[in-house]
Amino acid sequence: MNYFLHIVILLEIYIILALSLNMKVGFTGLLSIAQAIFYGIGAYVTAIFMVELGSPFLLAIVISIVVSVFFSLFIAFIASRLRDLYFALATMAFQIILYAIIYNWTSLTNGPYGIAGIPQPEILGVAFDNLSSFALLGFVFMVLTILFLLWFQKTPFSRLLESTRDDELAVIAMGKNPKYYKRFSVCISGALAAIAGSLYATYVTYIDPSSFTIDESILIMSIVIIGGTGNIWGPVSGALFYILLPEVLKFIDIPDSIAASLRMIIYGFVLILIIRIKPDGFFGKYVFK
Amino acid sequence: MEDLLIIENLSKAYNGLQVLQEISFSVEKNSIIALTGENSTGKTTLFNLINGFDSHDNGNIIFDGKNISQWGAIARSRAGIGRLFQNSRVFKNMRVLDILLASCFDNPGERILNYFVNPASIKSFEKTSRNKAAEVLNYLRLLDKSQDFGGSLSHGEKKLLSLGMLMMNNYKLILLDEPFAGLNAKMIDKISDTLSDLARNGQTFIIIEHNIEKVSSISNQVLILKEGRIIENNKINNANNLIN
Ligand SMILES: Nc1ncnc2c1ncn2[C@@H]1O[C@H](COP(=O)(O)OP(=O)(O)OP(=O)(O)O)[C@@H](O)[C@H]1O
Ligand SMILES: [Mg+2]
Repeated sequence: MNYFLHIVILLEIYIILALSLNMKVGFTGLLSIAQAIFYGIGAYVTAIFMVELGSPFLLAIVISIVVSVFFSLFIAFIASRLRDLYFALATMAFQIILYAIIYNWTSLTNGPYGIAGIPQPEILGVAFDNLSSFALLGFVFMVLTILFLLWFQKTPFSRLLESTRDDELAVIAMGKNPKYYKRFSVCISGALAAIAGSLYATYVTYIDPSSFTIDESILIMSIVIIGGTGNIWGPVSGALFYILLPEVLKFIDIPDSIAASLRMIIYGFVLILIIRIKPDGFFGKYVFK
Repeated sequence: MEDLLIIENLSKAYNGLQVLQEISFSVEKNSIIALTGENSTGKTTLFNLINGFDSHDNGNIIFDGKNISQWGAIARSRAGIGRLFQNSRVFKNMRVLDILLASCFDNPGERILNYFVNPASIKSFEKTSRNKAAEVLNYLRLLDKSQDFGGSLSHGEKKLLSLGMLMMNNYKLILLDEPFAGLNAKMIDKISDTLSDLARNGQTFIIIEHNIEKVSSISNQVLILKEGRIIENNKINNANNLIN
């Protein structure tokens, strides 16, 4: 049961994370390879505020969001200058630089040793200090995220994000500024990733930089691509697939020593298959060229 | 008649290649100007300069009484310069209806603040623009495609839809870059009819078209461009033009 709840919590966190990246990739066509950094900013800001300053969980989440949105503006700046592959490469550089800062700014982040003893969330006197209550908290955040996006994708605003994704020049010719829409999309994306990071930090109670590497960013991207971009169920199905795949593999009798590698091999294989056979992912709406 | 657009001594060079040289002409309100000339004589470039996609080296562009030479493309579009591209720029992964709705000017739903302070304005704008979009789709005979993706439309349907996007706003001047190219006779008639209707309602056009006979039959002024210069500027008095 405990193990099952652990999987559920991971799933909730990864669904929020995949949806956060989909805001950039799916809605606005920004192929950003730095999502782990915003996840990390959420986790670190939450950890630092709760451990060092004794701030309550909800306040820590709000501050995480603010900080993450602030750093998202760098991505918006890159997006207003560079396109496609150049944009992706620049976000990769951003990921590497911020990772190096987190890793080396030991007085703030404790560097490679990480931050331990992060308190578990408490909201209005209710402590979410065991697996089942935390799973419930994660579920609430996940559902709120999904509801927000379901509402958002029906708004006139979301249409303009999609137009920007499909053809920026045509948006300009319609008298609208694509930079504005990109800025908005990266900020929402950063905010959602920060929420996932806050949940992660207070769930595992110990964080170090290894959870927020460029590998993690690529992984989040692959989850979105496998599931499909541009709508909500694509990223959700991608996260389900990524988290549940190792569980399914457990039913096959393979030695532990190769299980982890086999998981990545199968995962990579599916990624290739998806790109070959169903480039819009399991449930995607939008094909990335 | 009042001049809607005045082009004065416009020049443009790309990497030393002089594409346009001292172009001057003016466009009266409610007129249809045909712009013709061989390939690579700078017709599309002239459109890029007029709608602000590119900046000119010398000269002035006066639109609706204002010197817009320094304005960006967004401001020029909002001032009333619309454009139909040589290769249609229809949003591929959006549905036809959404594409039309996205093209509306001044949608309160484009400002985040309005979702908090004035959600009613968003709702009512959405309602009016949906009605308008349905009208436009009906007029263009695209109503049955309203839920199709832009990318799935045929070449001709994309041109029609691009016209529809322009019809969602009241542009003062519409630049049409080869609206008939690559279309079958039936589609050409359909687009001609649409343009005639718009012209009869007072819409001003500049149309790029290779076929001189075709353009003289639909316009009341023909400009011929050669090697970046205007070599002929003829007003036609035939009652046989687009406005008929
Ligand atoms: N952005 C640019 N950079 C460099 N050269 C350009 C650019 N835009 C246009 N040119 C050059 O300017 C010349 C005129 O091009 P333009 O597209 O305006 O011709 P056109 O009259 O529209 O031709 P067509 O009838 O084939 O559409 C061409 O030689 C083209 O290569
Ligand atoms: Mg051309």
